[in-house]
Amino acid sequence: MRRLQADHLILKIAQDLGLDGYRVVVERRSLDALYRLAAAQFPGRFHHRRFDSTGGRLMAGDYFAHHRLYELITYTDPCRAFIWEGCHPGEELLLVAHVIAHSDFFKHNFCFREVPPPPVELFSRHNEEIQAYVDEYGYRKVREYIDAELALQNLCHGGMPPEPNLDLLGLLIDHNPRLNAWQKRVLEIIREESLYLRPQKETRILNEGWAVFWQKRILPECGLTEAETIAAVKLHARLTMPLGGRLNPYLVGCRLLEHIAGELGMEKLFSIRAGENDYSLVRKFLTEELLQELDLFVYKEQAAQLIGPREDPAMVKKVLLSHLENGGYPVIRIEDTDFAGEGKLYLKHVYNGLELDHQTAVDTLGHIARIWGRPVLLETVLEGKNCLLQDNISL
Amino acid sequence: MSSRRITGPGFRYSLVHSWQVGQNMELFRRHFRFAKVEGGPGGAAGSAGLWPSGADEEELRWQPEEFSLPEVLPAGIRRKTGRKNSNLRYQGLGKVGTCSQLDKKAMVLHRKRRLRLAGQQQGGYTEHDLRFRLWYEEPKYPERLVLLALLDVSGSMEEDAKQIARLFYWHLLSLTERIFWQVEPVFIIHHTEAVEVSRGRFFTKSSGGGTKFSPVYRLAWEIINARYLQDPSPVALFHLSDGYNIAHDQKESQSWLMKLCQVCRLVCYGEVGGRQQNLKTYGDSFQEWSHPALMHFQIEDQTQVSSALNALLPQILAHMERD
Repeated sequence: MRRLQADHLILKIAQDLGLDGYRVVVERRSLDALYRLAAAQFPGRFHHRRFDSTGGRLMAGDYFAHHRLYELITYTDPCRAFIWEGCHPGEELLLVAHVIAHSDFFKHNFCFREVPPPPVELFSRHNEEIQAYVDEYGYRKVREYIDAELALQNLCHGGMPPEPNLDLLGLLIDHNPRLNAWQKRVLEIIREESLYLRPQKETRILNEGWAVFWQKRILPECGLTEAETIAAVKLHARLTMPLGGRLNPYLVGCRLLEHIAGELGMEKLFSIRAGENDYSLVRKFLTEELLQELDLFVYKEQAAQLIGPREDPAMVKKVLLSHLENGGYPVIRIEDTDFAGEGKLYLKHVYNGLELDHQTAVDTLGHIARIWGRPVLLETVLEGKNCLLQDNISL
Repeated sequence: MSSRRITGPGFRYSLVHSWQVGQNMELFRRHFRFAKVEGGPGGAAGSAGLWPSGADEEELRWQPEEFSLPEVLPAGIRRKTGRKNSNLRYQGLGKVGTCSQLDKKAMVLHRKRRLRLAGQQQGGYTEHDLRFRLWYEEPKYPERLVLLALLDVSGSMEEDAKQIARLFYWHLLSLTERIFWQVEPVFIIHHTEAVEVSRGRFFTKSSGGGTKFSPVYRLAWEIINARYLQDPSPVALFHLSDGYNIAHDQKESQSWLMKLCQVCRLVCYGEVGGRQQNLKTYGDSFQEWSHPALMHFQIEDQTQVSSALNALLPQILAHMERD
């Protein structure tokens, strides 16, 4: 009862502060279930062995590196938030405030508006469909097909204006006569689900920063007891702590938004929530001073080089921006679907200063070739030189 | 669809060949080491290099291979290098073992005896005839070590000397932890009085005042008597100081040190920092008396810590071997 009241109270405070999101359904889950959910990204989504390995990795991170997952929110209507059941009551209130801010962000940000939230049961419906194919065509056949498709799930484009040149999954669905009906349907399912994930990838810093920014403001209004306050503040500090060398999106996002709120006022902040993503936020608002304060730097392992924020701030910002481009994934453009008149697929990696991982690139080309049925070529840059890769199965 | 291999999540940026973004350079430097590349990171990278310059650089580059540590390697390689962490003892013959240790001669003799006792003239080998040589691998060093770390923090110890002492203890602890399953350190700091402190305080505390050795030896002796007298694990005592003990304390401290030599497997006294001319230090008195458990050494500056440890470790380990 106390919990229910507290959730309502937080919602009320959030609304008073100007937040207005989708309805949030908060559920308490065990850590085990939380990691399984985090790996599959959506509750009720079909099962795949890759999700198992991701979940295992997350759990190992918890066990060995103390990176505990406390909450998870899914972009659905209503939003479903999952909170670790072992939390201290104070921590729980903080997390409820956090997810309410997330849902507000979901409702207003332009990246999410392009893809309206799916109904909650969409994923279990997809799961049932895939199960039906498994029953009909055999588990192994379907699973191996999904193996290939999950490797391509980031190669789609659903925003406006539509760009067919970037939408490889769309091309494979529409212009591939070699596919069966069920294979096309599975491709469609994967494409649809990954389109819902896409905006979250593109707004990680802004989204997390927004949630941390508001949880900090909602919590003092709740009238917590001393013990609850201490637990909540501890968790807040843990979220925004600089990690051991990696960029912490909670910290960077929150600091950027604090800076904007201080300099330009709250109205500007709300307009940023609606109209920016990570790339544009960092490009417009990450000043040199902030770069130094956040102690961001860049390094290249192969050359054993490290450039700090004081030495070359422009370089640091440039690399950060190229990592935020396209949700952190390389941009792959379709150049020709009938290359050399032999039905080969010719792709081009739009080089932004960051090179592809050679091995995974070749493997992924193999996955594409399996679905496309003909050789696939990729033009890219490796170790500073232009080169053309071919998939490893049609050679 | 023959390939059953699951590759990563599709196209992604190379972690090695492309620039990565990090946060918190200090932590990154501490936890992350670049893989070795041609030319080496130190010279080529210049000011942008990962390691700070000067003595620290030397300290950070230490690899345990530089020290004369016992090998913890697969058996084949261990045999080649001839160094080992355990002694093998022959335990006689047994009925169970590995094929490589099968004793064929014993097997033949056993069959003969079995047949003779049964009154038979001929018959094949049975599994009861198998005889294997048994070896027992006895660890060379005990599992647990009690390490008493005494540190002089008096005013006469300069900051540089304290830094040497801390570095010495830091590496000593990490190296002994590689050899023993469990190292139980006891940290004691002293000026004219001695006090037992936590690890964190031991490595950060900087105090002042005069220097007197007898109270700290007395405290160490009391601690050993109270906690480790019944304990079979060996006790090693290290004391680092600049050596300028109060003159009237020489005799008393020497008698305490004698007592400690009797309860400890090893007593190691080290003098750190540069010596002042014409002043006798405590270490000079060891020319007059000695004890098999007593060792002393000198470290003048930070760059010598590694070589001093390198020279000391074999001797320390020789003291720690099982009886």
